[in-house]
Amino acid sequence: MFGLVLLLIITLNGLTTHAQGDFGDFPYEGTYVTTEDYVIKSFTFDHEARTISITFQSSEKGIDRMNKLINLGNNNNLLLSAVIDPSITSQQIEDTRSAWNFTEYSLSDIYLETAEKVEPWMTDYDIQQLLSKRISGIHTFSHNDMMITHPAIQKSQDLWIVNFFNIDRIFRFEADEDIDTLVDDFGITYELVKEGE
Amino acid sequence: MRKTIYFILIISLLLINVPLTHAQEFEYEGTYLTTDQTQHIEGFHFDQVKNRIIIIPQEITPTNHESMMNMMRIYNAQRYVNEHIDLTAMTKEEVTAFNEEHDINYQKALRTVAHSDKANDTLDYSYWDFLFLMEIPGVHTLGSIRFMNIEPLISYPINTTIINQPDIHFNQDLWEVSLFDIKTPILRFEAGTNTQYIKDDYGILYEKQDLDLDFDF
Repeated sequence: MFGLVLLLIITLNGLTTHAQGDFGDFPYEGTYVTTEDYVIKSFTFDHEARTISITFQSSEKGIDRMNKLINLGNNNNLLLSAVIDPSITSQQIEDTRSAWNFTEYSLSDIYLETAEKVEPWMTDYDIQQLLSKRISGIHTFSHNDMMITHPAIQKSQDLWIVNFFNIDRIFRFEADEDIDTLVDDFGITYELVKEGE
Repeated sequence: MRKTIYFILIISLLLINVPLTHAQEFEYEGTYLTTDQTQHIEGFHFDQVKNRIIIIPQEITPTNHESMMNMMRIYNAQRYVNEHIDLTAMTKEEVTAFNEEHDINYQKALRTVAHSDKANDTLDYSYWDFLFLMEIPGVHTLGSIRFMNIEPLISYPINTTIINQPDIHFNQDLWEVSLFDIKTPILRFEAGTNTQYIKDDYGILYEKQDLDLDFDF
């Protein structure tokens, strides 16, 4: 009987995976900055756009992690469009795109809609930020910052886990009631930047 | 009397120099390559219609020490804008003025890409990004922003460098290629009368090719 209950719990747990781009009940919003000597300087969580922006700073600590993230950015969009492998069929591409809801948006529409948001003071960096907020992917802009658009964030025990399509656990954060402070799985503490600071 | 001679001399010089300067037009078009395989730059492709210069690297990178400076030219071209212009340090008003002065229209660029028959949803977003950059002035190396992995660009060497919408000025006996009115030129070419050949300021001679390489990105 106990085994049956355990199996049911495990099964239900497996079914509660969040949809892509769903932040669930993730309570952290805004920009969190660390004063520690660590390569990830800040996280910015934007619930409306469903993005996580990351900035880097010069530090030897965590450099492998930064390189891993940048590599994800460099390679991930290719995985999404599934054009890297010439052996897969067009049907497989369509199936992949459909499974990831990529058929729901058109890049052409996103470019046209972004054109309406252009302001005279914007730079090409601003334009790429606007575009990246709409396009699911891991976007690297420079050596100093990147954006994850439409990740899935779900709670597991006492951790918030950030997944992105086929990439599991990009980040893990300690789940805490105090949302002014964010602690990542390396024990680095980030403080919420409040207005006026 | 002496003043009159000076006056006549100055007027003569003006009459000789002014028409020369203004009559000059950069008439090089198509692909120019060198046969010197020790050079890192194999040649240049001048596209007058798209207002674009493409620096073509050698397919096999030379290893000789002498051409190291030659290789640096490719990297310097890539760093060129970043080293001279820091838009992040400008105010909104300054960026607005900069965009106006250099005819940078992001709205138009985005619409052009959206309607381009080269762009479709089965291509990676990075290629769309690349097409967007091709609509605005700048220097871009294919390998710098993962462009080389994108299907339409995979056949080009990663050091292929594109100078998009450059300013080409005639200065004394040189053609100077720059961007955004930056005084330091990215490239310089000797002004010759025979457009079958072009010589850069390193003295390397490039010959026009009958068959243009396909740079229709």
